[in-house]
Amino acid sequence: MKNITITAARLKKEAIILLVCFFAAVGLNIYAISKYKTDWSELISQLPIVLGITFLIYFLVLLFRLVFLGITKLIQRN
Amino acid sequence: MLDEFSDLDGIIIATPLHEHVHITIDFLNAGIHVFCEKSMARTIEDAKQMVDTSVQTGRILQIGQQRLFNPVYLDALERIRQGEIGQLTQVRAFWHRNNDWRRPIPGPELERKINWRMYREYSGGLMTELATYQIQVANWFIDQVPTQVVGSGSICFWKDGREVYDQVALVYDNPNGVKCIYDSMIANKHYGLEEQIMGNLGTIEPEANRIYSENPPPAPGIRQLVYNIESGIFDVIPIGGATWLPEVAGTDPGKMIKSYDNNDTYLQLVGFTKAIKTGKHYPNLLREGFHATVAALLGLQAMDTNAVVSWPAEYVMKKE
Repeated sequence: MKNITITAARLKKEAIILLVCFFAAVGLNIYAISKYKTDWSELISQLPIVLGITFLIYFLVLLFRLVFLGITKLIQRN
Repeated sequence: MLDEFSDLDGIIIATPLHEHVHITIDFLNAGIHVFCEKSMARTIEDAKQMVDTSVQTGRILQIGQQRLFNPVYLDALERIRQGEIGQLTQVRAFWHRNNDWRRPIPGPELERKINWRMYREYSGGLMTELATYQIQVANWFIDQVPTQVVGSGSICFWKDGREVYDQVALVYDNPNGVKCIYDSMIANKHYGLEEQIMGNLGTIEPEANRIYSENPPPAPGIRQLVYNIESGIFDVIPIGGATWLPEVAGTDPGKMIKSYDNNDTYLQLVGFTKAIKTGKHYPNLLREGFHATVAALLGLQAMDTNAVVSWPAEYVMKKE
């Protein structure tokens, strides 16, 4: 059985990507508050939804990265 | 005759309706405070006599309109007074059950004694047994004495020899134009019971312990954004469409009026004992009970005669 080792560098990279996703979700929330003229307290009160969007973006990016990695590997093999 | 009760401070009368008047008057005259179940009496004259005796003897007469002690109703009333639902425009109240209202009897000779609610001699049916609770709430919240009532009643489903209506529908007019629309029946319970207190800015449903706004706050911005994105992706673009949308009931879930465990029956009895201890009745409490009984019996009269029945001036109790 093959051991999979997750390095500290890999963890750091994923944490940074997650953080970027979080800031993107917060940015979306700010955009929504200003667009629909709702209360700025939603920056705090809507954090659960913002976190949900964070993970959604993260997994979309992960999907994109996996597809990109797969294509790259295919090109390299050929 | 009442000497054996002379050491009592107060009594509770929970007998069939037609018995209330003479028991109440006897005990009040004996100097004993009385808590009497609603409705007050089978006739308006009897109810008036009970009020007069209470005033003359200075003894407390409290009627079992427990919603007057219910914290949810008290809070709802305060919200109405504060203008939270705007100008009061209509009260719609209903009480629906689905049973024959009968109790088992050991023999036919006890039919009228046990099932006294079925017979006009002893009871006003739905009006005196159920409507008094809710019409009291309507009068209390509208803060007016109705001027007149129209109504219609029938024995629609339970055609089992009963004399009282099993379905009633009434409209009470008030001097300020607010109407109380009331109905009750015992052949469908889907909608249960409620008093819907409607204003131009909101609605209160105290039985459900909810208050609703006519203009509920918009959903949070992020939810609106997500919803719009979803709609943009998944919604079908209509080619032509409805030119008119039906005004379906609001979907606002509303807010709780007040956190409370339902024990207003207990609270009203605590209130009665407190009143006995202090020797002072609660202002306007008897007025509420009396007006509820008058309203119910005038409603019954309106249905029986198929006429508009005005509220006689001699049956208006002044506010304390």
